[in-house]
Amino acid sequence: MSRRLSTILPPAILADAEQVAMKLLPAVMLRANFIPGVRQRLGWRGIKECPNDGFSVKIAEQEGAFGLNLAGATQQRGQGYATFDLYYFPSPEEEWLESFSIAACIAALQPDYLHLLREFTTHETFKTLFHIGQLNLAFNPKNRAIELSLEAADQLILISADGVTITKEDRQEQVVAAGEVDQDLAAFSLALNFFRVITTSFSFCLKEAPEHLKRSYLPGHHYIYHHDQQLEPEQHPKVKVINLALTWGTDFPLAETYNNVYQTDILWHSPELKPLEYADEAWWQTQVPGARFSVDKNTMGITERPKLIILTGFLGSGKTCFLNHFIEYQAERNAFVAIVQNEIGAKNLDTHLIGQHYAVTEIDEGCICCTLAGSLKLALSEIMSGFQPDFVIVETTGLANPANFLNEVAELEDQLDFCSITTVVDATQGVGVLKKYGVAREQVILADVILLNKVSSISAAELKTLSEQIQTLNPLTTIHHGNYGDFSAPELYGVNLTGNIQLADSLNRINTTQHHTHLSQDISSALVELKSPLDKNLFLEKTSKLPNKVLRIKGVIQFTDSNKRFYYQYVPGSHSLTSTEENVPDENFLVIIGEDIKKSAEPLLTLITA
Amino acid sequence: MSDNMKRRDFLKGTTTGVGLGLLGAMGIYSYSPLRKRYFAKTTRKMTDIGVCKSVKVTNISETSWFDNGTLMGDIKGAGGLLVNQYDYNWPPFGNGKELGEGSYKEGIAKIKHLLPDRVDEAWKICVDNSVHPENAGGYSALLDVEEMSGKKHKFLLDTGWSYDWIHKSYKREGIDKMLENREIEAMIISHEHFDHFWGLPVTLKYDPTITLYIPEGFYPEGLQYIKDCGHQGKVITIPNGLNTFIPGMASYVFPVPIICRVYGEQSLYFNVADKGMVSVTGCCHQGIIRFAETAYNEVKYENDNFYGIYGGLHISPFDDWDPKYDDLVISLKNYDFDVIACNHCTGILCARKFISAGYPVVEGSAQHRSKDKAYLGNGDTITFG
Repeated sequence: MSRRLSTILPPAILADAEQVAMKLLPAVMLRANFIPGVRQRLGWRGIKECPNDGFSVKIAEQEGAFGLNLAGATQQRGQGYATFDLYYFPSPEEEWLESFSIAACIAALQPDYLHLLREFTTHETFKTLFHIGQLNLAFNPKNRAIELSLEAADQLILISADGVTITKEDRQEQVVAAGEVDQDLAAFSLALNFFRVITTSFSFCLKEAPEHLKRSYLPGHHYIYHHDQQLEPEQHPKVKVINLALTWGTDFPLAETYNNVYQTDILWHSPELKPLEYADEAWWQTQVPGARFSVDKNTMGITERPKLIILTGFLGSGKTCFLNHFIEYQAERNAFVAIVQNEIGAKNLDTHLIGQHYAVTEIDEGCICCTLAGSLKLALSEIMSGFQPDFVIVETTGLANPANFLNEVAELEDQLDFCSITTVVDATQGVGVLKKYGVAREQVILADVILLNKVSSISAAELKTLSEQIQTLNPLTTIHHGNYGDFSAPELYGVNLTGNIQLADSLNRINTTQHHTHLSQDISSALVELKSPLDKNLFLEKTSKLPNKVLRIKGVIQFTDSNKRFYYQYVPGSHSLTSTEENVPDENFLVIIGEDIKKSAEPLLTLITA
Repeated sequence: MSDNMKRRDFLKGTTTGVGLGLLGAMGIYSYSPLRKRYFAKTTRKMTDIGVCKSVKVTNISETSWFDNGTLMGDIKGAGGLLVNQYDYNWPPFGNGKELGEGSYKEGIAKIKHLLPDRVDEAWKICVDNSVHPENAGGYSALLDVEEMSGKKHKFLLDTGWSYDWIHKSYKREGIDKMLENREIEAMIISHEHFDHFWGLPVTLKYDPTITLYIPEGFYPEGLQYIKDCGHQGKVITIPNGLNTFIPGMASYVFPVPIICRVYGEQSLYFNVADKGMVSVTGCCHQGIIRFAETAYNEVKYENDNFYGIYGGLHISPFDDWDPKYDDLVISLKNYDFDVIACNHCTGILCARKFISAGYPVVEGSAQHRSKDKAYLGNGDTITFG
């Protein structure tokens, strides 16, 4: 323990128990967030420091943002204690908002809400509306034991003594009658989502699991408020204040001062069998799942393979603009982007590059730009060993020979994570270009993600027509709207770049067994709805024998041997099955993309349409 | 309100409510005995740090390393951003082993006998024993401060990384002579990072008695290094918070966790007569917002105006929960600086963005291996006041 703690805080702070109590939680939170791979897996989705020792924080579990603010710290009998107020600012579209007070709802629906909550620590009356509980940290310098506890009411009930009347469009309307409940919030369960992420980060940073768990209760209150700004707590038989404490280290319990006030219902000490209710919590893990299960060197999410994105788009669609935003975004986060431009013959390559498969055209803070000078595969290998990029983007103006291209990429499967084919479409030109040029259509057909650029320059009706046209060509693609190439990178390639596979809404209810969009060009796509589960062996046999003309297959499938459903992804030379999440719509389907599919994918089509 | 109507739909467009009073002003409505432990937080007062006539910054070096890819590769290969910087096996603490297998003890043992006088010889040993020595550069700046009385002071901010590079840079700007002549009052170290601190012997070669100001939060290796370099002067650890050096010049130590197992950074505030607040930073790991807010809350300055800024403006690596916000760009606008001279870890992309946003960025001359005119580069100077 002591060794790990000194990697989190320096000796000067460790010498002062009160300082440790105040600084440890923010330090763990920030240190856990230094490495993107680890940050994501621990459940963090972004932190912003606020004035006066505060943070606004997003986590994977919640749409809104949590706020954390130091309330006070002290030293008693040599031990350090600190309390942090915990807030939750629901997103205006979120169900949780319904549980907050009318005053909180109104605040959340104002245009300046986001702005206020980003600096919530400086807006006293605003932040109080969203207070949900507190975190307490206790530190014993003798054996360096740490206790972190969450305290919140299971129900945070506010009663308006005088009723609430709102003014809307010059009319007055009573929305809460006098003496009625204005807010009834499941504060503890909401706060627990945050507590999970922070305690998991403690276990990760300390490289040690908690050794004690204690859950205790206080009798709770509801609060009656009056017009004249009086707040009256009143004991409420059904409300409890729950205190859930985890302790790292052997000393227990630290915060004993108030033990007589609380009633304890779970008290667990290692190595007893973990309390059932909390047995599966991530805070028991000292290693990051998915980041090779270890924090030792080389494996802290650092050996992750670079993510490969193939970027296509017609001339002038805004690829370069998008790339600039993307590089800048990644550079600010210490990620390094390598861009390979696949435009052979576009530039005169220096003669001294013979023997090298790429030419560096630009190298900058956050990126290296190269032009392909030979085999893509060899160039990518060289770039990866030379620059250790986090992202590799292969930019092409046209997919001249997609089959060869994807084949080459597939050979790099063990060195790169293939993420997506992303296609930028100029919304102002889209309809015409798609009609006129086969290459443009092929780019759309092959895309996993479509970035519809310059959308503010067209009307809603035009946008609808274009979207429909795109969805007809490619029912599985995700379409993002933007302007000036400014697409939010986390939205596009958010969590480990595994986007959901989902049919476009308008096509969800297609009843035909086969929806075939055949073009004058060679490349086409077929959507096949799977009415019944498939034989796994037969399916894998057929897909392993597909010719190179079949470029992509993706969809949701189910096999006869189990109730589970899987995402299926195929690129030439490689395919994968991953379990689906629970909220995937019921239909099973496959989309097959390639040249002359009817012929080239015939054995597979026969199997799945049977 | 009907039961099946969502509050969030119904309340759209509402701005006031009778009976809501100032619900938020009634205080936090959750009772806990644990809260009673604390006294109310005291509000801090603006401290008068005095006024100075002017401050001139000479950029000795802002190029901490020359190739970003190499540095990132080293950090990754050694185990990532949480690894102790003394373990990377970077110079000067190379022990001849692999990347990530360095140690302070083994590294310093190879060169200690040569420090501080024979830095060039010491660096040769470092080159043979460490990973990517050619990539090391360093961050260092000379500050000329003039008091209202006309009295002049010289300070150094940071001492770079590569002995070789910093030695050459010192000679280029005449710092070696100034140190020899004892013209420089003190060396202020912004934080313990390799690129700001490890070049210390070069400074000590010319003035081993120079007073060092370091921020609270140094690790034992760093403190030992000061001794092992042959330092004979005073070492003053500045506690978190505000510390006035001379009238019109103060530093503020921010207790922030920084990558590579470093903790705490101090940045400098100058109150320049008739102009306002001038900030000089190493990396600004605390983030520009916290830096400027602290100045705003804690320091009294002329005309209540943020006048100028020099140095690295590190974007917080965490401000990503709403990528549509570009905090650095937005906040710089809010503070309305009259003169922005940025370099080092700001990011050239970011500096260019300031320029395209119309901010008053002072362009540099892009010489002595500084990459871009958007940076106030190596050998460039700027005078505030």
